[in-house]
Amino acid sequence: MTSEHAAWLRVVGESLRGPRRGRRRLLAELEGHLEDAAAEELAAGRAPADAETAALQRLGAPAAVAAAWNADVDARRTAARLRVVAVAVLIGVLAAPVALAQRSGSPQRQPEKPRPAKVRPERGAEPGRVS
Amino acid sequence: MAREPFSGHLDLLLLAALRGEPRHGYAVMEHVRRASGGRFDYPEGTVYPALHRLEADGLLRSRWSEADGRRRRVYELTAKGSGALERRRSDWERFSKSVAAVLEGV
Repeated sequence: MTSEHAAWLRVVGESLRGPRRGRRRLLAELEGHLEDAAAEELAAGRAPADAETAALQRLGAPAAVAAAWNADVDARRTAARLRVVAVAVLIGVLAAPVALAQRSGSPQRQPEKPRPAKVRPERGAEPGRVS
Repeated sequence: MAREPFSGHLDLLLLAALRGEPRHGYAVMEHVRRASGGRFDYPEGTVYPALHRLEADGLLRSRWSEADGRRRRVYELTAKGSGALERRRSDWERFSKSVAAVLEGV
């Protein structure tokens, strides 16, 4: 890979957002594309240095590639957040009637009845025998 | 030709380029350029984000492939992608016929 190509790929790589795995794959594909484009330009009769430059021009500005990538990353993140909100709302909508039914159907709390006081037998007295 | 019409229908062109034959990104661009008679001259680097997006949407699948010592990511249509291609193609034909009808009536 030429230093010109490496610099182009570095600028693209530094501008990308999103998961690392996807970014690495994108950069590997762009590198392969640069190789193929340069080889084609060379086969068409260009000088090696001109072929490398022409290949870069064909791929476009790093900012344009990064912008296209980042727009998709942002759109996917927004969609994922919306899905989380939608699930939360759905759970709320489904749970609300159940909560209301439980609240209205539950019996009113009765005041506690006084418990009979426990009578302790006196010490030494046998239970059930009256002297 | 202006880039805008190509840009607006990039997904359709990419899906069509992969109909019937898996290709890597460079071959996809070659196919689009050749089939359009060189009229679609667009920054080739922006094709890859579109290919990734179509794959994330389940319309394409991809795998690494090695030929002549070069490792390339090869894309192919999924069943969902084939269906999407046919729907978008029908939409495009209806749209272009409608535009033609209006233009002929002017």
